[in-house]
Amino acid sequence: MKFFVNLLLIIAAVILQISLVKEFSIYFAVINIILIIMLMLVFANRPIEALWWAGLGGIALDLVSPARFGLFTLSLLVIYYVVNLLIQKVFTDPNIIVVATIFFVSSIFVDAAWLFVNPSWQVLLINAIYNTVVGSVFYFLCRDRLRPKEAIRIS
Amino acid sequence: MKPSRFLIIIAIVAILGLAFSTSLNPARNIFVEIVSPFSHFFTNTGTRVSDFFHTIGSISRLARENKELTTNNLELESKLANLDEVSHENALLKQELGFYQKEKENELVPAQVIGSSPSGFLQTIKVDKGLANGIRQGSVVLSRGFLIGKVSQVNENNAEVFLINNSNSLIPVVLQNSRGTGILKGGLSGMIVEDIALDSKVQIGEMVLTSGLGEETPGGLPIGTVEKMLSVRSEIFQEVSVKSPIEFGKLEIVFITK
Repeated sequence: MKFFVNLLLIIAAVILQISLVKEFSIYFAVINIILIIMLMLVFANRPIEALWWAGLGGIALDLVSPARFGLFTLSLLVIYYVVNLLIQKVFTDPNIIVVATIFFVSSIFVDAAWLFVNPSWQVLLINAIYNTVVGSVFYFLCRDRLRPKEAIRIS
Repeated sequence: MKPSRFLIIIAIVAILGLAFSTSLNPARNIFVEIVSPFSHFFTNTGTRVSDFFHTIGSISRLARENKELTTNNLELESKLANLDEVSHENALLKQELGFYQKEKENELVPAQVIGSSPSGFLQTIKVDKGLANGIRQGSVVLSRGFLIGKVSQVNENNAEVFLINNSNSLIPVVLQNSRGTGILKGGLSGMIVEDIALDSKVQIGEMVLTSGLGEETPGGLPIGTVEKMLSVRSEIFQEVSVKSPIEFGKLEIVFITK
């Protein structure tokens, strides 16, 4: 059940990504909804759902993307793997600096492959800053709601 | 399913997809068809909401623009009347000289914009017409008569349009009055025409048209007007910025040549 709810949410996020997000673009830069939600879930210690978002979200993005299939999926899976490892082993309760840095680096990693299509460093940088600001703000606003209930009870 | 197994399966799918990207076009086509009614709805809603707030914020500018446009309209009407006369005269002269009028056979297909690129690196839009409607790769895409892009990828019932404001879009153009030729490029700082010869007397406000060089884009299609000179006197070529009347982020319906 949880899986199907997430699947519907992923499809809804991809629809928003290709339709509504461009209305908020800054110098061509747009936020990556799937990346932001996936990282928020990793930070909130919900690795299984984060993995669904990375894998299925990546495939859905690749299906609507004009670029080669697999670019989004592979980059999101690598980010998921590395960030999840960092959160589980090193930064168990990430502060604002860690969250912002991870958003920034992850955004650059996702977009790096696009430099072969369009070598625009400005878009890469503005995208990264945009994703970092939006992702960090949303994460700290929703952090308590995102965390699993068991974890809140223990703390 | 174990998370590690899920990760491996998805990674294999992605790697296979990367290797055989074009074979996945039917799957892409089906997915786009499924999501297109929703993305079309959100695209339109987004555009309308943003238009609404934009309009509220610019009422005084709109009033001034309206006044200017009314004046321009009157001027254009008088010019149009003159042009009708010239066209008639031209037809007569051609007849006299034994020329034949070459009919433009390009039929335009209206298409609705159903989405845009999920990344900011490529300025593309998705439209709801494809091979089934006679659209082919390289077809020219227009909005209100102005060139906005070309079909870069075409599926059975939808197509991807590569917009001319992409930084890697290069289109040979000609400036209507000065007859200077150059290459139109997109990018973050807007559309720019480069490599215009120094002896061309470029005028601000003159129309920029496709030149038809290279035969990839038909000639004579309007793109926009010269906004300002970017180059300085010491440069070996002139460079101008181009303003298109089309807002590329707010496209809803476009026309594609068959």
